[in-house]
Amino acid sequence: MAIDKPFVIVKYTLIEAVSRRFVLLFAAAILLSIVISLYAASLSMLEKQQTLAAFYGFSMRLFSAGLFAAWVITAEARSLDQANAPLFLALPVSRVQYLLARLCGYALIAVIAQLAITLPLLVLPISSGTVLAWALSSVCELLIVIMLAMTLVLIFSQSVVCLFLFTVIYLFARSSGEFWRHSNTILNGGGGLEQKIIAWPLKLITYLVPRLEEYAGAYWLLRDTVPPMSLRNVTLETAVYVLLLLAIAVERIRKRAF
Amino acid sequence: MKRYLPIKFLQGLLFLGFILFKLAITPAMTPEKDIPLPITADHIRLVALGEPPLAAKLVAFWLLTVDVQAGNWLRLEELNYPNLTGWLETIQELDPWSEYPGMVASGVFIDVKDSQRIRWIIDFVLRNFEQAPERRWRWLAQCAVLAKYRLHDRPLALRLASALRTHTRPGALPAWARDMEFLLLQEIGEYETARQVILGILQSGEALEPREQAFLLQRLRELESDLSGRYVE
Repeated sequence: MAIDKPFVIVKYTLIEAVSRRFVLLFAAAILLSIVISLYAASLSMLEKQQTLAAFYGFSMRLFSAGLFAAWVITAEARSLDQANAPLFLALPVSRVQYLLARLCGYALIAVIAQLAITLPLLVLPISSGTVLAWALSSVCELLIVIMLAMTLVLIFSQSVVCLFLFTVIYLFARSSGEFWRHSNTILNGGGGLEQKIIAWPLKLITYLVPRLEEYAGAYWLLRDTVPPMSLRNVTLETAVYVLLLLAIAVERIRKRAF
Repeated sequence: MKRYLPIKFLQGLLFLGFILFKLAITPAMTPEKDIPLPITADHIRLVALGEPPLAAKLVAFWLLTVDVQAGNWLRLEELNYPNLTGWLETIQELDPWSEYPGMVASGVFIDVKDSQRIRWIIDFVLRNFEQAPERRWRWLAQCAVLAKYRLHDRPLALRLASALRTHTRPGALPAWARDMEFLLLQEIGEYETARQVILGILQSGEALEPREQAFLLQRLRELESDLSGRYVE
């Protein structure tokens, strides 16, 4: 009986995604990505099919991260502000169960969305192993996106603040490796004192964000190759980062006044 | 009786006005400009969201249309070639596996009448080839042919053909590219060097087809007879 109640919340999350037209929006994003990638392939003089796959993968990854973050932030902010969350908490579920059930609902949507994203790639001349690795890596990124978005809402509550912070963190995480290398060069004697003053915090921040540039690279699809160990590293980093964010989120939801 | 504002009519009118405004005011034509100074690969990597090969593709797309500006076609002769090759180097650095720089340099941007610009491109292709000879030899072979037939510069063609053979392992080049060097040497009367090159190929351990081997041996005999004839004279 106790298992049924969190399941209601998972089901509600899925229904919410359909009724609030998130599914339609996602389908439009897939169509737009196909158009962008077809245009890029038409410009390409070499490797047309691979270019198509790479641009599709790149744009779809950006769209998914943006859409999922916006969706989770607005849905959670609305749910926590309005009566939904307190109503669910009137059921015999704990706050942690509520959080986990919401997370499972969003994760389930992410998996279904990733299946839809991956299907067009299967018709292109790219090995299924590469496509599968890319899809798994993308799901890992979406899990981080969802967890980060939920944690931000639980900390800051306001959607605009959360959206802004998410955008900054996500874009930084997508280039964190480059920023790390850049700051390292400056700190190892490549720059003046002012540059070093900027490089120190920059390097510190690179340790606080996940290295998303290692995830689901479009060049995997372009070159039909997956860097060795990357899937293992991605899975491990996702597990560690999601658990860390979950711990913060649990602490926040316990303290939250409804 | 209360009169309502005809809001639908006003919306239609304003929309029509907006379209007419757009039609009347065309975007300002930007003056023609040359290729800007290249941005380093390190700087592009910082904003490439972890996808340098894709950034390389985007730069390549831009570079291929750089001769169409403000709706006008610029002649390739009007473009700044040092900047152009700088951008090609940036693309190659962003994606070392890309074949774009070599291909567009030796297939598109070399197609100019100005010999200085052709030489500039050839220099770039040679430098590019030296970084990964076995992936980029075909662009250099193309340049060697152009150096001979368009620039009529046999020493340059010979230098390129020699680089082709010496920088690649035996068997990496097709026969026509590999043999270019001794054929050019023979043309300029360097019989002894040509003979040495053929002997080098035969002794390199490269697996040769019977017809290829016969061709090389025949050339070797011709060269030896040329050489003996010269000594008799």
